[in-house]
Amino acid sequence: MSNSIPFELSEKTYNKLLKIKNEKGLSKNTWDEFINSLISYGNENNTNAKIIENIIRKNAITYWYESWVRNFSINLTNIWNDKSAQDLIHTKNHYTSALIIGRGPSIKKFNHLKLLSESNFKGSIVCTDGSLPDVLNAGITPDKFNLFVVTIDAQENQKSLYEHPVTLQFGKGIKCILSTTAHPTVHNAAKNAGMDVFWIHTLFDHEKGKKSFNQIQGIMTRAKNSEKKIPAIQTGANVGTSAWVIAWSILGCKNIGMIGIDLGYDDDISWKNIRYHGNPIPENIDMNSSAFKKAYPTVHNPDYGCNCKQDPLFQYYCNALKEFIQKTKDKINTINATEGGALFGDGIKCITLKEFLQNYNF
Amino acid sequence: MKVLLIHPPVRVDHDPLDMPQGLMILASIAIQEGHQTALLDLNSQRPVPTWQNIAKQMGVEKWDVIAIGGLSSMYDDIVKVLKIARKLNPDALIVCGGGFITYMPDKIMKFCPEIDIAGIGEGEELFKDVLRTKEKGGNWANVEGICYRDDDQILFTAPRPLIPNLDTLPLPAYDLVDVEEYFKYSGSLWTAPGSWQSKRRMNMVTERGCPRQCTFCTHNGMNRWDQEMILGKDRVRQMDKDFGFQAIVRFFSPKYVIEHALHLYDKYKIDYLCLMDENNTASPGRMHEFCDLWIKEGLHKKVRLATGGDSPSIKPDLVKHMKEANFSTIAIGGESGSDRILLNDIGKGVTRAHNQQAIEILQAGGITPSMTFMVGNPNEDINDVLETVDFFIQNNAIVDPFICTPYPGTKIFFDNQDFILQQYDERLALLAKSPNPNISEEVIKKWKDEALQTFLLSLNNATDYSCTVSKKFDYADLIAIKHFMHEHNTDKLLKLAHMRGWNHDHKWDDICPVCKAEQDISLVIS
Amino acid sequence: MIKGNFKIEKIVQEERSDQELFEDLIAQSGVGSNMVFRTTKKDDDDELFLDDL
Repeated sequence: MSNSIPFELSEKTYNKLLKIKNEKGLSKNTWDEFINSLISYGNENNTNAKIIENIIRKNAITYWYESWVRNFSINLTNIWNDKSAQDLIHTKNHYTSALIIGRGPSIKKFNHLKLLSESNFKGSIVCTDGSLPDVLNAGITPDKFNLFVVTIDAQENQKSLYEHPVTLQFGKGIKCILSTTAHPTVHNAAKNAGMDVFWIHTLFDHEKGKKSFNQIQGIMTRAKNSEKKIPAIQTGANVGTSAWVIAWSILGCKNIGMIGIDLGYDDDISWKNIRYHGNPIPENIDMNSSAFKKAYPTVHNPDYGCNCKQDPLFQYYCNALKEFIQKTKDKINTINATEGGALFGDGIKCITLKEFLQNYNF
Repeated sequence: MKVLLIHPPVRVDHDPLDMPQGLMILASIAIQEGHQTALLDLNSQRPVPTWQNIAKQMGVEKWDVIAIGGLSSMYDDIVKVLKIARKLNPDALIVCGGGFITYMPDKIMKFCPEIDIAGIGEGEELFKDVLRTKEKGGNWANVEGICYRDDDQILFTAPRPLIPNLDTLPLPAYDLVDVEEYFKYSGSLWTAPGSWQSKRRMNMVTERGCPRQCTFCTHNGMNRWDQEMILGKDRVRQMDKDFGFQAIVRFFSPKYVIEHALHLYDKYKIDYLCLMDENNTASPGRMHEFCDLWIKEGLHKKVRLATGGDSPSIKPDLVKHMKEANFSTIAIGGESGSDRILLNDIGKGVTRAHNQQAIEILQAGGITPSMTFMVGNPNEDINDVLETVDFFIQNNAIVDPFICTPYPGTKIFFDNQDFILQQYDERLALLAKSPNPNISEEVIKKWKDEALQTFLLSLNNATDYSCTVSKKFDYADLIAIKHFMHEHNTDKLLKLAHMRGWNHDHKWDDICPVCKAEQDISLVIS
Repeated sequence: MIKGNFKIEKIVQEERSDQELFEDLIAQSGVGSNMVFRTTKKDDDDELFLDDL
């Protein structure tokens, strides 16, 4: 006869633990792995996120810094003469809902743009620049919707999105929120398309104080007009997160919906065939190694019951955005209507786009 | 012996497009000589590997010979690679070659103590001799065309003649390069327009040298002009007598090139071949022969082509034949829209009218002209810049001009050496204005060497500013002018001229916003 | 990458730690369009938005 006391778990406790396990993205993992993730020294998931962020941030500033400085210096005359995104803070026609549009695979999968174009959404629509041609082609145009587009990327090829025939056709009426470090040709292309351009700074080295280029940007911006203020935003390293920040900090919206913000790749496509937005995985990598699995995880979204694949870049963007959403959950509602992807967790409400349009159309 | 050849990163802000042909031929030679040979290509991926990763790859074996080659614009990475190579292989023979070392091998060997042997100019026969001498323990003094160390001294050996028949060279060692990695970048926008739809693009070099003597150009020591620059005319004339005429330009024969291309098609299923030659059309007879053979082999139906040429050689019959052979693009160095600059500063022997005619003939013949330009030539002034922009506007051309950069070995480098070094050391600049007899020649030489090293480390590809030979524009002017030229912004160029006090020709008065404003005001007053 | 006409000794897996491989994979994946901004200031809002630089 055993001397041990039988151990029982109440159904309520079991369900609580199951919910936490799923929220951590560990629904496909064993209970042992879940327990380990709670008690492991240093909390490995957070450590990995920090490692990813530290490496990519360091490489990013090395890669982009000169471009930012060069682009800003060439943009300066236009920065002096054009509008600041500050002007949008003072607009009287604030809406309390905004919808961010990204380019993730879920947007086509669920035909979100068609659904949106057939709606009478009254809120602000903030597109990432990459999504703009598709958005306009779907009939989401400035005569029917309050439309914004954001560019933060410093590369010249972003201008092609503004030179697209559909952008030229519908550009007038779109408000373009442009980083002061974007390529100068993007400004020209946006203006050429008839857009109203509003400048915004992007934060990257402001914490260095007087030695920072961000501070110098501020000084140079005010050199011609000491009253001119241009707001500065956290980009989260990608235009989707930038659009989210703009929606609440500049446009003053309280309910921020998001579509196409998968922050991951379609799980139906194999690792070899994915069209990476960064670099492809190295050819000779062992996909069974723990290093690969940490860098390229398959994430389970418990709210939508689906999986998606991530690379280090998507992890970097996703971890940061989740952190920012958590920090702001008391003052804004972030509603993920992507219906797929890796964005879930504390402060994020996951629903369908249809539900968002029904409940947040104001 | 175990031989490692290393290709350092180049143009890291672009996609990697071109396999290191020269190094691959040297690898073939090492293999033919019976050595265990490896090639470490650090340029085939983006982003380039970390230095830690590079060290790990270099450290997989203990090498007997390490060969590193590259252009002047790769110097800063070569310096880092050398340090790692020497640390990991203290006893290896490190031999370097290519444009970065050919023109001042003794100086580079002084700056880089890791280098044992510098190869000057053409490398194939030289490398064979170096390997044989290393293996047998021979005397470096007997190997032609090198610099080597003898205790504290750096000594030159007798110059090596050019290889008279390039067809004797082996094919590049494609097995030692990750060819599929390069194919990923086939449709890159950094390539010529005709290749944007290609999926399996390769490059090939079929020419060494060029009949034009542009002051900004060199040929890595592989033609007569370069030899004269390095050795002097008298020495080269002596070499003509001893070894035969040292050619201005040499080609692989069309037959050789076709066989090479057939090998690439059969093995790698290429759909696009870029003949990375400076001036393929300058030998029209050879080009016609090439086109005939290409078409005869049926390659025109399978592989698109691109190459380089010069404007005067672009003639309708040649273009027609090249179009039949499926050439999609011919790249030409247009350089400037100003005849004054083309003829005097650049010395190309080409005029604006030649360039215009070439564009028209190519367009009429259905081949895309790809023309490059540059700004910052020594005597170029605002009027010359405006002529060039006028050329862009007339031809509706979107051009981001290069900045005229005095790479080592070029005439503009040799003619402006002191001016270049003064940009890297303010002491030299001050002494140039006010010489001081109390400062010894030895001290000045030391400062010049330091400045030279800083200059070499600063060199990048000419899309960015590193230093200038312009007598008219400073670096801030050049960056702004380059940008305005790209935008066709004559307004800003002319305003800049007025701001800086540069006189512009009256022919630009009608489009000058400042002159027009002055005219309007005087009309109102009168 | 390195390729040879002979069997190059493979890098011994034990010498290269899992952590190093993980970091290499991160480094080679790309740099993104911008960067996540971090500040040591106590007020977290400064990390998300400033009304002027």
